[in-house]
Amino acid sequence: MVTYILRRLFWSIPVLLLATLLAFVLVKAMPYEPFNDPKLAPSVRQNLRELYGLDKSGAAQYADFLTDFVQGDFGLSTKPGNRPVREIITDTLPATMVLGGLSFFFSAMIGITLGVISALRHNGIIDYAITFFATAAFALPSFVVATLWVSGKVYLPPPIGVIQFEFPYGWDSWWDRVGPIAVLGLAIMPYFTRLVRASMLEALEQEYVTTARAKGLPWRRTVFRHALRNSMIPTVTNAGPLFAFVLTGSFIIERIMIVPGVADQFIESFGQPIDSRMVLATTVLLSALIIVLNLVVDLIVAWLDPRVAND
Amino acid sequence: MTDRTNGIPDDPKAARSDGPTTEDRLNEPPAASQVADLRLEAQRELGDLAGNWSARVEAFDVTDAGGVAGEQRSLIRDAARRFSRNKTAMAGLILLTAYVLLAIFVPMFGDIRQATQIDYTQKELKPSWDHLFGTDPQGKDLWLRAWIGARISLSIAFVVSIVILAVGVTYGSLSGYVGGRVDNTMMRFLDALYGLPYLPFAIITVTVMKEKFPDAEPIVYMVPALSITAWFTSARIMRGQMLSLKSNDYVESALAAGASAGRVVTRHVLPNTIGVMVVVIFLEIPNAILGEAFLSFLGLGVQPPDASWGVLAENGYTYIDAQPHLIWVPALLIASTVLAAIAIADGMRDALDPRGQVH
Repeated sequence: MVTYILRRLFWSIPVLLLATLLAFVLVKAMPYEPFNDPKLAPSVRQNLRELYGLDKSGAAQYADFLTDFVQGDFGLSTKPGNRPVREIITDTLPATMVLGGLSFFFSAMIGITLGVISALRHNGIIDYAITFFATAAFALPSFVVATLWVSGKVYLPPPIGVIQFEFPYGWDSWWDRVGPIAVLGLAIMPYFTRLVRASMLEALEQEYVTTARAKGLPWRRTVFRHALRNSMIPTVTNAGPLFAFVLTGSFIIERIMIVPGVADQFIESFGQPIDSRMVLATTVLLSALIIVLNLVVDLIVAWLDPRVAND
Repeated sequence: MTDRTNGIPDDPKAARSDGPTTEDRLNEPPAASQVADLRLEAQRELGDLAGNWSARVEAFDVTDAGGVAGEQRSLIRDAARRFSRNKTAMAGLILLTAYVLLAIFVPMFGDIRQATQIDYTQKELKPSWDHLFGTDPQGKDLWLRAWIGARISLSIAFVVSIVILAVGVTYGSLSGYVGGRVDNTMMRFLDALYGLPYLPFAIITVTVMKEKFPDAEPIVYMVPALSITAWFTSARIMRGQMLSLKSNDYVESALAAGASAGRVVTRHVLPNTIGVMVVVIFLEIPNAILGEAFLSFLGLGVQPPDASWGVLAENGYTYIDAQPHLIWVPALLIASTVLAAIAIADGMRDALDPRGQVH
């Protein structure tokens, strides 16, 4: 187990390096020349380029970037004000983490519950209703749900028609935060529901369930102690890709629902001129975040199912 | 489960796609599993949603589908028959075909000026016979714009899927065929790439491509952006195929008869994976459709005056209070296309591997 953990930790180093390299090469290839303003005197431009280290070779710039990055120096933003990128990120990352974390947590709770209910009522009305709901929530892109939420329109069958509501959104108070968290959670929830439903159905057919029942274990205890616990492994195993999915969703939701998060800042950086330091730092940090979360998931899986680690 | 990372599945059960039973788990050597393998195993059992399906496909046991041309043909016919009995899958296929036909013919026969020229006398009309989906605040006909947008959105989605498949086939066949150390390194590298977040890299790539090709059609800059971090699953699937097929007798006899490795792969192994390849294409279509919509919605992908479903959705977002139906049209088109592609992929997978149907 210890060897396994160490090996996984070891492997995440080249992964992170690779992410930084790819991000760096791509960002270098971007239309990025912040000091090309013809109004600047050539000498001033030269000084600025030296200040930002742009006069060096690509490899040297990458080395500079890595050294600075591991020391927590992400460079200066090229936006008006030239704030340190690190400051922008520490200001905005918490909102993204809270949004992602809470919506992940609530969608897991609700999604797993619905999945279990669906599996226990297999092919019943409730099962169909939950499956329909999950499919609709999966197929409707999150920007549509977010837009409708913000517009506050609720569609009811005639003769009632469209009713106008004021749904909370924004990030100022915890009440406002309910909106973004609910909409992002709604986008993630179907994954849990479908996963848990399928693995529960699978688990309920297994022999250990029959055995447990035959030995006189109450149904409730069989379901929760045996079937549910075993069907949690595939659910956790699949949580890795979900983090990336949550991140993708937060780009849209921060934008539409006015959350001052790092994903929104990232998109802001693509104005003219492109704030390449910000883009680079954010991309690397988000990659690191996903890699670390995947690592955590792998370790949890190894803990749940020790066969994984005994390689 | 049998270790797919390092070798050929020695237990035929392990390669079946209906998931290992408890018995299987007990019979298997416990030493083998990697987390990645476990993840695949889980996905294979459960794959019900887009992202999760692909792995199920990987475990196709195509070994008995191999080799003989006549048998192959009848297998395809069998699969087609099974597919046509699957109502959901057929509904998906009919819907997607209808969308493709509408995308081709509606702009061809419609009055394009109604979709491109601003005409305030026609603005914000309700749906009617003249304007099936009504008009937007600039007086542009939404029905026409929806199908002009479908051209861009659907063609991007198809091309992206094919590019993803091509990269996956190349990478996966190489890794799976060569095997050993090369395979191990290539798979570790692939694991590493999985850590890259999709949207940031798509946004950076689209910006780079737009800079390099300022006057290009949307497809030129959207395809690289949507493929760059999307081919990993396809590579894994194709590698799994290669591993399970390369141990077949017909591969060995071809090699013994003096055929080169390249010829064996392209002429003997890959043709046997066509079914899986088609499944991969339909699995990637939803991601590409949604990816295009996300980027364009954020104003970083396709941009007006070009129309795509993402552009239309952005427009609908802008006018949500005055004309809520502007967002519903692209939203429902996107949602139904996603569901249709998934239904087709699912149906095709079941048709190709009837034993794999669980629930």
